[in-house]
Amino acid sequence: MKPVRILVETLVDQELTNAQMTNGRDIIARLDPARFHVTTFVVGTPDPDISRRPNTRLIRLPNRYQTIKILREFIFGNHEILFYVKASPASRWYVKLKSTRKDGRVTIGTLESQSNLRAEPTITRENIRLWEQTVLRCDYLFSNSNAVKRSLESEYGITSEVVPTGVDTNFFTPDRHRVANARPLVLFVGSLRHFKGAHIVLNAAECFPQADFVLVGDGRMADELRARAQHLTNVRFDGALSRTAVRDKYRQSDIFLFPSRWEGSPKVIMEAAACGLPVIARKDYQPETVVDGETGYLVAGDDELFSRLEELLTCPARRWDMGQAARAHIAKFDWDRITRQWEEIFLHLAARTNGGGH
Amino acid sequence: MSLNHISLPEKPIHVLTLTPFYPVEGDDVSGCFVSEPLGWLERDGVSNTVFAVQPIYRGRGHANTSVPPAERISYLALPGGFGLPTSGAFLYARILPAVRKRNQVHRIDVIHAHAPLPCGHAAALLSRELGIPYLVSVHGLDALSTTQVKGYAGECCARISRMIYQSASGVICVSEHVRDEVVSGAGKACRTSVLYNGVDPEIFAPAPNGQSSDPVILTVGNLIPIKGHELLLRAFATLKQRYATLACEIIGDGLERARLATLASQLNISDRVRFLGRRSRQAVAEALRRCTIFALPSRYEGLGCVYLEAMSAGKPALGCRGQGIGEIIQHGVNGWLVAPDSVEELASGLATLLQNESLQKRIGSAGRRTVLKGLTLAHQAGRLSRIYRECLG
Repeated sequence: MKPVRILVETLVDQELTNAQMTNGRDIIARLDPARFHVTTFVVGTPDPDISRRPNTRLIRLPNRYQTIKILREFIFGNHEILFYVKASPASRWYVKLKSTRKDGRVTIGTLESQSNLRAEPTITRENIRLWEQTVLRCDYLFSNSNAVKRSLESEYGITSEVVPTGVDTNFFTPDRHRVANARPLVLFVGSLRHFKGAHIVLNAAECFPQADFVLVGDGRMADELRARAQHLTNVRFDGALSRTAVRDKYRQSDIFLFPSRWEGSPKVIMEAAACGLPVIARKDYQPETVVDGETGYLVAGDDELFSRLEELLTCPARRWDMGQAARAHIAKFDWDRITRQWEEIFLHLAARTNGGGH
Repeated sequence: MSLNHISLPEKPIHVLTLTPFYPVEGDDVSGCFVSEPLGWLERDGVSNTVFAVQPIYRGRGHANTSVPPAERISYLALPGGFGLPTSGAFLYARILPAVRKRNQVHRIDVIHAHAPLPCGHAAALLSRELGIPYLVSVHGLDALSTTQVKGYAGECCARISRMIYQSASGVICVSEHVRDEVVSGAGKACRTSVLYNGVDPEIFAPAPNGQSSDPVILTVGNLIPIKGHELLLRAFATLKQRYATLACEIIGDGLERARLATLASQLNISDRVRFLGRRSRQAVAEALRRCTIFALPSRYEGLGCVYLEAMSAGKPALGCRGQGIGEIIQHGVNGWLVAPDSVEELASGLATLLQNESLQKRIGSAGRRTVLKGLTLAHQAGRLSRIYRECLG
């Protein structure tokens, strides 16, 4: 069978930790090299998993003026599928050109919330327009959760399929030999921004002096939060950490508390669950990664959040059971499985284009 | 790029707040419940233009630099009983050009008026003129304004208030208690919601190492008959024998001050009662940290922010049953409730708390928890921004 040629618009530099970039990398690394020939971009040192992969062509981009090179690849490259189309000037040019002539290639856009547009102080109207002119104009759109899919339908009237974001359950594993904490340890991982609700973690720390609270992450509220936590002896800020260091935190903790109000499908929930932690998150964005009452709790308000937290703090057995259930549940979201879904989608779409368009 | 900006209900909105309550220079207490949530609202994507209004005879007052800036506006108002029912129209005439201009520069999505008269009335008229939905907040006595204004003028106030509630996109009540008053006055058809005021848990933080050894009963509030200060003094007089070092601190000022001072000397407790006058927020927080019990046996409170502040400071707060605070305080759990107008019950309540230090601690920390769980400024602002967005549909 002829292999499918895919161009993935992402950067596979190993030092980039931006969620969307790592998602692209995670998928490429797991695509069957025999059936899928991948072309993608790199600026600095490529991720070893990618450079090791056969049938993978890396296009080196300069630090500036990348558009021309990307666009050239878009137009003249020999690809059947353009995957992970980003809101970049190159894609905008390509999408414009594509509408004027017949082009057999299929474009696939993905909608995720992890790349945190909100984090950037420069969310401008132009950014949103660019996004609307590129990602939303792709031939096929995939959301990473049902909540994201629904919001796309209600905001733009555009339908999309759901392929969840994955997690590496071989990397994020519980520590079987861990020593139990003398005091329960509650963990929060996320940027320290208002909507993530780190201040609620501090409120909880004050209400439950019998437990320790660790916040991993950095952000513009860091100073304010640190000042507030000064008199709280059971709170620690660990700043932003590497992937391995974060895993160690998950492994040492007992409960993952994630009071964020707005998310798509947060990766940290999956990582915590994969490390065997019960998760307390909000109902607002209906995460499918938490089964309410089984792998953790989905709470409607702060009152419920506090009572659920208290319940888990007082009952180590329930924490353990839920942690086990969480680990079992999250296996559905392992990157290997998710990548199989992408492979099927790519094969299906490639067959359609080869069979004379769609 | 991501879907964040569409998956999140965070479309920025712009609110025009009309309020007669707003901190001025030298007084950061009055109206802090309006100014304090503004910073948190900003974080929820709600920007605010504040018009702080005052009748012309009160003078303008200088802006307080520690709070978000507000445009200070004085409007023409008649003296006497008909001042209040007519003031809305005067205020409307005064601010319409400014609002129009503001609306052109930065589109106003919602008008939020504090108290039906005069701001609610002006908002209703603005809403009719400019086609912007409006919300009105009710803080207590202002529900129908018939307590402040008597006779025919009072009836006019009530009639206008009803009209305002019925045509508003939402009536925000400071407690269930106030909501009942609004509903009984204006009918079930008006869209009411309850929004408790929030406290800043950092300003009103518990003392790091307990309180001073001498017990102190603290009360904070304007010295007006409705607050029941004389009940507290009488109850204090009955306790004074048993607790030789017990003191009473009274923060606040008002017309009753002279009368209360005389009462204190009649009861022979002047040496133990300290009238501290009006104090800044910081000083109130400091006093709350120092005190043993906070007591305010008011005859009427819509909610009573100061109870929440006491709870936030980790002190047992004593209030009266059947008022707004009764929705938050569970007697003996996170606070103490007594019957209104009862010196005996007040005295026995204070005595119970005074003689049991572990009870004080337990109630105090439960009160603090209650605040942290759902009554901080962040909670208030979060709920308020939801109310704004709901009224936009």
